[in-house]
Amino acid sequence: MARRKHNVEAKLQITSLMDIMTIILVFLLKSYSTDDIQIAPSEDLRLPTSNASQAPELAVNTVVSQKGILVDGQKVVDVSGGQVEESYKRGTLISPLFDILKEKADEAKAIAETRQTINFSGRILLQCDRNIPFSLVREVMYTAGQAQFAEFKFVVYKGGE
Amino acid sequence: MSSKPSDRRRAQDTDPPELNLLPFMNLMTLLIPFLLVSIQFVTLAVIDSSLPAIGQPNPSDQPDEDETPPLNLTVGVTEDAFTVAGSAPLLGCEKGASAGGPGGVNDDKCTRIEARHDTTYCAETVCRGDDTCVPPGKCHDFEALHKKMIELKEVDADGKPGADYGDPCRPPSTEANPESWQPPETCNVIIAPNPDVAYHVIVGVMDATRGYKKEGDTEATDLFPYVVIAGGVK
Repeated sequence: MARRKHNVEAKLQITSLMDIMTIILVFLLKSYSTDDIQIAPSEDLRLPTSNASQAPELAVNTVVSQKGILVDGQKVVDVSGGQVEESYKRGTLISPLFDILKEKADEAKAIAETRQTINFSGRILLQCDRNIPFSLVREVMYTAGQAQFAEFKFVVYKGGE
Repeated sequence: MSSKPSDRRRAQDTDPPELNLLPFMNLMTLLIPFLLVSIQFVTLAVIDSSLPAIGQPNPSDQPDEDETPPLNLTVGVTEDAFTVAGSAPLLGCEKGASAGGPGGVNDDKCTRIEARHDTTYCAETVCRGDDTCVPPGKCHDFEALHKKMIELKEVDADGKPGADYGDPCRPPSTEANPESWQPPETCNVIIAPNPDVAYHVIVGVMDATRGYKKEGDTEATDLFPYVVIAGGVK
């Protein structure tokens, strides 16, 4: 009796697991993303939906959410009630945002000077929450314009048609 | 000499040989976490816009008397209406009424598209892709704006299909240098929103003015794809 038990080899029934894996693999490959830009959706940043189809490209990334303004993932200034506090502003210009964008522009220009193949394009990606008022968008656009970013790319969710 | 007994019968009795699936399993367990981190739940797109070029107008650019005046299409956005202004006779603007910018758009003398009081329509347009939003009782009529834009592009001043402003907005395929190609002025739209208008409304206006699909076409036809957002004055 004991000897017979010893002979039985434990075998995992792996085929069904393989089935699952194969299906998951196909699904994951289908939704594989190679986009240049990353977004972190949250309660404070819900992008609007649009039927635009132009693909995003790499540029300075500015996020305007209900809670604050971020440049390339770095918090710049707080936003409350769709406004930046008056003390941070000089007229329409948002000073802390201007400083950091100016820095970015200078960096990009320095690179463009040393490498002839690269031009400073002044491209800037704007990720704005769908409910922020136009006055704030305008202030951010004005500030970016002063820092020599003139080509705006509004990031939206692709949807609709 | 006796021959060896045949193996054939015995081979048929046993189970078919099993594949060694372990290396394949290894591959899978590595691939799945890798693909999981690079998964994309939403597709993104961008809308181009540029700052208006500031400078003195070039005297040689002045249009001749008999030439069609520049379209200067301007869409003013307020809380409860769109105002479409421009030099096209179709818009019914009086001379001088199309000077852009908020406050510059003359509400009374140009085409005004009132907001719609229709909760079902508002739920569709305002709450696009937002589950938490409560549809308001009143919202901007993007549909009417879109229709107006198509009309403007397709119908000429006398109401006949002929298109005074139907110039193509993309560089022709024969163009040697598509990068430096300048689109005609009739492909531009100036959007002039009031300060308290929400951002998604502006995106909606850009959607309504960008392009449309003709029946049976697979590619969208351009309307006014080049957007300039007018900051205006406070």
